[in-house]
Amino acid sequence: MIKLYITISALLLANYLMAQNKVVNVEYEVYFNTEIPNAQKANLYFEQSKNTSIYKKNNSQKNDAKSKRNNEENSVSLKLSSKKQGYNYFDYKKDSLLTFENVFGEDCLISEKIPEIKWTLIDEEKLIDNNKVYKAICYFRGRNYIAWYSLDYPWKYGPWKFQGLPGLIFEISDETKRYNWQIKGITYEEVSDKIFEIDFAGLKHIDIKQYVEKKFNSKELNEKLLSKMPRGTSITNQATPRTGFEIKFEWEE
Amino acid sequence: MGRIKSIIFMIMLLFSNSIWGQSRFYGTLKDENEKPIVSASLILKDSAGKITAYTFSNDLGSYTLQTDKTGKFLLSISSMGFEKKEIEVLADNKQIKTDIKLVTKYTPIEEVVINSVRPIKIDGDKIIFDAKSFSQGNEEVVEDLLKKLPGLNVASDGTIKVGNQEVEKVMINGDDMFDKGYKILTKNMPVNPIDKVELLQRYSNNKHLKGIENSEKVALNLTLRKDYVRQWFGNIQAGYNFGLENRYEVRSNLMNFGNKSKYYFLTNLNNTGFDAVGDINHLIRPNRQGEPSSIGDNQSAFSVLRFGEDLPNLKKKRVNFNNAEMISANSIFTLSKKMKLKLLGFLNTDENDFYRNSYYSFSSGNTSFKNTEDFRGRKKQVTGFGKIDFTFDVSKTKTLEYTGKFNKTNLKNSSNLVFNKELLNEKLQSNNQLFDQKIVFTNKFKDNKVLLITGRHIIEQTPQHYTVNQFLFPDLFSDNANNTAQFSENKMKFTGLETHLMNRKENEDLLELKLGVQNRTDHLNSVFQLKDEETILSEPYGYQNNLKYSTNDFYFSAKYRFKFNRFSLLTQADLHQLFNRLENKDKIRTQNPFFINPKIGLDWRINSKNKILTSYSYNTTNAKVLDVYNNFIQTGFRSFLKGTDDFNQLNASNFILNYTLGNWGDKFFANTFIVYLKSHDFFSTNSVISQNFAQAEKIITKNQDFFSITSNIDRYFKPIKSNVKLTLGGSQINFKNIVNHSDLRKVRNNSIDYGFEIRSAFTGIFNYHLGSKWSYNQVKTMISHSFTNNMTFLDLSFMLHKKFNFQIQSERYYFGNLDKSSNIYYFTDLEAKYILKENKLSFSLSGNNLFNTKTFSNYNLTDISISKTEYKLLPRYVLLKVEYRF
Repeated sequence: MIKLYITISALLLANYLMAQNKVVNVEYEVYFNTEIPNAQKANLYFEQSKNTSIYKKNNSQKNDAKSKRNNEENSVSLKLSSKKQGYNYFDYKKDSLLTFENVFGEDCLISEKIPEIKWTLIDEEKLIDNNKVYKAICYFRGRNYIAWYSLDYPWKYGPWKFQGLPGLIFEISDETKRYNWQIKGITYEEVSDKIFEIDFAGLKHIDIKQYVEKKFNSKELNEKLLSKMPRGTSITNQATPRTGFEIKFEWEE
Repeated sequence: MGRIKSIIFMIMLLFSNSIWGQSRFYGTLKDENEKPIVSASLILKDSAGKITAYTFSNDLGSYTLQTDKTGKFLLSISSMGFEKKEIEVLADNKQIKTDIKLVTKYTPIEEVVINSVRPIKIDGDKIIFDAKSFSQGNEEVVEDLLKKLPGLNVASDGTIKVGNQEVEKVMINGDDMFDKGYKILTKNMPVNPIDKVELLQRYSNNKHLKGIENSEKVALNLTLRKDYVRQWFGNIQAGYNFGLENRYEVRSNLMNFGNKSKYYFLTNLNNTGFDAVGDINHLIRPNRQGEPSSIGDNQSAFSVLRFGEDLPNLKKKRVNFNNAEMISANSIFTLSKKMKLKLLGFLNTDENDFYRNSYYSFSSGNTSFKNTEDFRGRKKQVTGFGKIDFTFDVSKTKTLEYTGKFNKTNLKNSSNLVFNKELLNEKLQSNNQLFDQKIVFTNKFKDNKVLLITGRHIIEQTPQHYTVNQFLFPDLFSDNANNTAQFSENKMKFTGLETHLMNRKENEDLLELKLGVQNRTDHLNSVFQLKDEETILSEPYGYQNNLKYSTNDFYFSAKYRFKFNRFSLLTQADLHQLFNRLENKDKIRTQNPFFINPKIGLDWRINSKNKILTSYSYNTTNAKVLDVYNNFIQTGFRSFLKGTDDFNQLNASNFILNYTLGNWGDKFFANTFIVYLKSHDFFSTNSVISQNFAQAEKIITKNQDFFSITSNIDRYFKPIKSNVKLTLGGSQINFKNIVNHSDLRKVRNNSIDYGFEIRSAFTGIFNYHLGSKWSYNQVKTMISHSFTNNMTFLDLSFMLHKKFNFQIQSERYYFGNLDKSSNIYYFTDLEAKYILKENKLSFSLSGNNLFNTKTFSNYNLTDISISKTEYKLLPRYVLLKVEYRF
C-alpha cells in the first residue's frame, strides 16, 4: 500500500517536474516614457543549461485600476497599446532573438540575430544595496548606455536586449536617464515551462529591417495630429525625431 | 569538412599569433560526468584584479579568451550549480589549451531583494522625479530640466504637456502664483534650487477633494532644496518701433522663491493694443468654474451705461488704441506648517481711443429714417486691486481658507460725437468698488466623503455720472433744456452659505448633495435731469428710479452619476424656495415661488469610435434687478430702457446632443453638436424708435426657440501630409417683439456658416495653413434681408534654422453687402525671431498691418435696421524686440 502511494507520488512528482522547471527569475523595475512616465515591473527568466532567456514586461501595474477609470473618462487620449505585454526571447544556440512588440496597434514578432553589444568595461565600482557592482558602457542602436553589473552573479543575461556582460546587470540607463532599468530581486524558482513558449498565433512575423520600416517610416500619426491644430497655434519645431529605445540601427550607422 | 575548417582555423590562429602577438586561452568545460558546461562565465583578471577579457562557454562547453597583454593572470570560472574555480595562467603570446573540470556544488540561490534609490517614485497619482538623477549639468532654467523628464513634452513655446494634456499649473512647494501662465516661471527660474519635480495626476485645487471629485487635471509641483540660497531672477522683453509712430512695449518679470516666502513682481507697459491686465487675469479670477464652493462667483453689480467701447472682431493689436501701464506685486508667506498667507496687488492705468463712423438706417412700419454718427472717444482708467488668501490646516483632514478681494476702478469717458451733423459731447464717469470675502471650510471626514462649508459676502457698487451737452429729446419732454445729465447706481450685496457633501461610492459613482441659502439685495437708483446750462429744469416723471430688490433663495441640490457598462447617467435636481421682495417709493411687494430644476444627462459609448452625449434640463430663472425696475434709465445718448415692474420667473427647456465619430488622433474624425433651447417665456422689448431717441420697455412674451447645429469633419491625407477640415453650422432663432406700437411681430434670424481649412505637417522648413469661411445671415420679419461675408486666411511658417524662424499671416475679409469700393480688406503680419542663446537672449521683429490698411467696416442687420460701421485701425508699424533673461 505504502509502495503504491510512493509510486503514485513519484509519478505525480515526475509529472509535476515535467511541467515545472527551476529557473532564475530576476525582477527589474523599469522606468520609461510612454504616454505618462511610468514604472513597470519586468521579469527576466533564464535557464543556463538550455542557454535561453526571456525578458517579459509585467502587466500588473500599481495604479492600473485607477488609470483604467481615467481612460474611460478621458475622451481625447490616444491608445495604441496592446493588451499583451512585450517580451524578448533569446536562444543562444540558434543565435536568435525574438521580440514581441505592438507596433502602432499591430502585434508583431520581430526576429533578428542576437545583437553583439560592444561593452567597454570601466574601472569603476559602486554599491547597490551592499552589492558590489562594476560599470560598463556601450553604444547600442543610437543611444549611449551606462550599466552596472555584479560579478557575484556571473550571468550574461540582462533586461530587454542588453546582455553579454561578465555578470548580471543590476542597473542600466541611457545617458539621458530617459530609460532606466533597476534590479529589484533575484529568485530561483520553479515556473511553468509555458514561460518560454512563444505563441506565434495572430502575430505578424517580421524581421528587424521590416520593423524599422514599419515603425519609423510612418510618422503619419504625428502629422495627423499636427495638421489638425486650429489657427493661431504655431508649430515651430516640426522635426519628429525617432523615439523609443532604438533610434539608429547597425546598418544605418 | 570539419578537418578543413580546423586547418584553416589553425592557420588563422598562427597568423594572428605571429602578427598581433596575442595570447589565446581555449579549452572545454566539463563536469564530473564529462558533460559540457554551457554558458559558464570565464573571466581573465590581471594581478590588480582588473578584467582583461571575459567570455561564456558555448553549447559544447568550449571557450576562447584572448589578450594582447602578457604576464600572470587569474582565470576565474563560475557557473550556476558548480563550485567557482580560479586558475593562474601565464600569457606569453602563445596558445594555451586548458580543459577545466568543475565540481558540482549545490549552492542554493537565496532570494535576494535589492533596494535602490529610484530616479522616479510613483505614489498613487503622484510621480516624483529626482532632479539630480535627470540633470546632466547643462540645464539653466527649469524648462531645460523638465525637457529631460520622461513623459513630459515641452513645446518650443514652453507649453508643458503630459501626453496630450496641458498641465494646469506649475507650483513651487505647493504654492501657485501663475496658474496657466506658468511659462513665466519655467522659462526663467534657474534650475539649481530644484530638488524634486512632482507630477500630479487627477489634480484637485482643493487637496481634500483629491480622489473624490472627478478630475482629469494634471499639475506640476517643484520642491526646493532645503540648503539652497535664494536669488532674484526674471526676464525683460522690450520692443520699439523705429518709425514715425511711437510704439513700444515693455514686459518684465522678477521673482524670488524661498521655502518661507515667495515673491513675484511684474510690469507691463505698452501702446500696441495689448491688454496689460490680461497677464494677471488668471491671478485675479482663477478659473474654478464648476468647482465646489464657487457660490457667488456669478454675482456682480450692473452698470447701465457703457459707451463707445465696441470694437470690430479683429485682432486686438489692429484696433486697440491704448497706452497701458500695469505693475503687480505678489507674495506667499508660509507662516507655519499649518498657515499660509498669499497677497496679491496690482495697479493698472490705461488710456484708450476709439474712432468710428457709422451709418444707421431704420425702417419699420411707417417710420423710416437714417442716422450718421462720427464718434471719437477716449477712455481713461485707473484700477487698484488687492487680494488676500489665508489658508489654515486645522488638521490633516480639515482646512479653513479665507479669501478677501478689494477692487476700485475709476473710469473717465468722453467723446466728440457728430450726430447727424450736430456735435455732441458726452461725458461718463464711472466707479466700481468691490469688497468680496469668502470663507471655506473643508472636512474630509471619511476617506471617500468630504463636507464643504462655504460662506461668502460681496458688496459692490457702480455709480455712473453721465452728461450730454445737447438736448435731443424735444419730442419727449416739453422743457426748454439744452443739456441732460443722469446719475445711476447699482449697489449690490450678496450673502451666501452653502454646505456641500461629496460621496465617492465604492463602485466609483459620485453622489453630491448641496444645501444652501443665498441672499442678494440690489439698490437701483437713477436720476435723470433736464438742464439749461447748469440749471436743473426738471427731473421728469417716469425717468427716475429708486428701488430695492431682494431675493432669498433656499435651495437643495442632489446630483448622482451612475455608470453601467457603456452608459453613464447623470441625474440632478435643484429645489429652490425663493422669497422675493420689491420695494419702491410707494409700495412693497413680495412673492414666494417654489420650483425644481431637473437635469438628466446620458453618455453612451457605443464603441471605441462612436460616442453620444445627451442632456436635457428644465430651468427656471428668477428675474434680475435690471428686469424689474419700473422707470426709464438712459443707456446711451439716444436710448432709454425700463424693466417690467414685476417679479418674473422664466422657464426654459434645454436639449443638447453631441455625437463623435472617431478619435481626435485618427485619420478621420467628425463631431456634431446640436442645441435646442425652448424659452417658454422670455424677455423681449416694446420699443418706440424715432430719429433722435429709442425707448424700450421689457415685456414678457411666450415661446422663443433657438436651434443650433455645428459639425466638423477632419480628414488627414497622407500623400500631401495635410489635414483637411470642413466646418458646417447653422442656427435659427425665433422671437417676437413690439416696435412703434405694432402688434407682436415675429422675427426670425437664420444664419449658416461653412468653411474649410488645410494645414500641413511637413517635417521640413516650410508649412502652410489655409482656410476660408463664409457666413450667411438672414433676418426675416414681414420682409427679409440677408448678406454673405467671407474671411480667408493664409499662414506660412518658415523654420529656417533652430535659431531662426519667421511666420507670415495674411487675411482677407469680404463683405457681401458693402459698396464695391470698401468691401474687401487685406491684412498681413510678419513675425521673425532669432534666438541668440536659448532661454537667454533673443531678438524678434514684429511687423503689423503691413498693407497699412487704414479702416475696417462692419455690416450689420437687425429686425429694424441696417447699419454699417467703419473703424479706424492702427497703422503699419514694425517693432524690434529684445528678450533677455537675468
